[in-house]
Amino acid sequence: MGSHLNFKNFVDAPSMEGNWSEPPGNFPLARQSSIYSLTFDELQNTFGGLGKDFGSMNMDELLKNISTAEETQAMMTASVPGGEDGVSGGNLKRQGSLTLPRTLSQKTVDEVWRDLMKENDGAKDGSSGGGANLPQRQQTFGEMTLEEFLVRAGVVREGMQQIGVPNNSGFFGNNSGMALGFQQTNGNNGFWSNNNSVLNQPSRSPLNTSGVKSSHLQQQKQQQQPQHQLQQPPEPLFPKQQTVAFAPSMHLMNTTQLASPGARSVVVIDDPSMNTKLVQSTGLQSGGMGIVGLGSPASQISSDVISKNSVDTTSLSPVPYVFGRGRKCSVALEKVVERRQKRMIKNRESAARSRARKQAYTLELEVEVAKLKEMNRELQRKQDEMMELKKNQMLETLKRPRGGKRQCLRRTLTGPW
Amino acid sequence: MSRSVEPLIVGGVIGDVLDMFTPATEFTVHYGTKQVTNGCDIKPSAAADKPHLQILGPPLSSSLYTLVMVDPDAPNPSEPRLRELLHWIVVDIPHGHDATKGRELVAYMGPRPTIGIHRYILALFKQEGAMGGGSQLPDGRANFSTRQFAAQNRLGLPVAAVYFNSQKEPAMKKR
Repeated sequence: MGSHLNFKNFVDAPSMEGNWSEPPGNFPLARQSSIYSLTFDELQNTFGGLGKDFGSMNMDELLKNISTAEETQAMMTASVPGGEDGVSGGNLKRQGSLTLPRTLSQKTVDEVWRDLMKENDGAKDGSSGGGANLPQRQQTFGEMTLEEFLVRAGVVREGMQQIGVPNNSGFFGNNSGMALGFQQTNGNNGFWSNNNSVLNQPSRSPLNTSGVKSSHLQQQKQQQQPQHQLQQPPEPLFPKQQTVAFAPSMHLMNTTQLASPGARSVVVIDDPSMNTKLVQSTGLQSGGMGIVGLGSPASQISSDVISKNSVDTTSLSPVPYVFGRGRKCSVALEKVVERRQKRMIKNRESAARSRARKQAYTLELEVEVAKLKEMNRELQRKQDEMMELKKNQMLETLKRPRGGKRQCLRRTLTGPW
Repeated sequence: MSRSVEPLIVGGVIGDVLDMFTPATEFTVHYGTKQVTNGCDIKPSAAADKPHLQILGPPLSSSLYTLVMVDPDAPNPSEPRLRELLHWIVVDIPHGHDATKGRELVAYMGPRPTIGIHRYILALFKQEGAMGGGSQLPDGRANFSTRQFAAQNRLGLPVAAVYFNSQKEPAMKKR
């Protein structure tokens, strides 16, 4: 798998690999100038505009910054022939805009990162050989490439399928990291390597990120397709891997969504449609599930730039994100999903309890208020009565005695003269 | 009077611990100066000592009451494995008086909410007659059942109940 890939800028790979089980070799081709392959650190340094600390940025802002940065970069890499079809060089294709799932955008990068880390722990073991296992990568926030982050954050959805497919080593491990771990299950690995374009992993795939919908592979394919997609016979699951289970998305998703396994396959599929072209549309789509794009079509996907496909904002489906291309066996994956589901349920229950508590307290206060008001009214009334009574009594008492006294004071005529 | 039962329903007291009932008696519970109203918050430190209980109404009736205090959210509200945790049982409380006049079957234990926010329910039952020696003491405090206890001692439905919330107090600030 990795062998096919050229690792051009593999600079980051070694460092990133901290946990990876996969040899760096798996990394995809040289890093293209895609912005996605840059690590956060690099991004921050390079693009002044992004200067803000990534951690506290909102996902929204992050994406915006990424797009701005990408555009800048695209211009710089104009030399590479862009052309959707048959682009051999890596092109940064920017398509559409990344749309984040609503839920995701509200989180800050830090939060997503934390979630990813958590997820990572669980997912680590899964990735096995096959392509770089992204999950393992990135020990530090800074080292994670944008791609990786986005993928994991569920902005980009990857097709989950076949995690097992070894090919994927190609993730795009990118040197840059962004490699959204797409696991390209199919033999695609080779593809990327062909073109340096690697970068993109995300773009690769027409796999749409919309993996979310995974259930409808077909749909996705079509959606993704627009651009250069490799024309391959659509396979429902594009071998690429991607099981993208996003930790954050998991939380966000409701259990029902979790249940939709279909998503997995979706993402990847787009690739099939891709024909040798580069795919790129990275489809960074919200929906977070992995960027399918990686799906590197069998033919070469030449560096497809990360093209952003219009994201279909399908409901997020908590598809487990599998890093490292298909390495994770389904059992481990299920555990991860299950754990997430449980956590989500627990959280919901806790929230419900909290609401009930609040409501009970309010009700009690209302009852108290009503009681006190009534008591107050009663007491007021009684007091008025008492006053009235007293007043009357006093008046009466006053009248009688006066009359008597006057009489007494009368002088009588008595005298000796 | 059903209005006064609503907080108990919404708070889950009726359901988790007690069955639906119509309040027949009024009683007040005071921890120091603080009166317990449904759903109010009381710190564990404030509730360490037994509260002052008062069954309202003219002390004419000769009925005796039983008070049971339980925590249905032990050890953790999201995982109440020890539901209900018994805190206090007082029997033979004469009407119109406070709990000190009764007989403490199970000694008072203050709230100990380790995780989460726990509810502490005080339920008052009317006894048919004096509680004889037959009332068996529960083995341990954990996994107590108020319903079962009431059934065993022929207490019937509660005549009054009140509950409060309590959570672990934050540790002392470090210098």
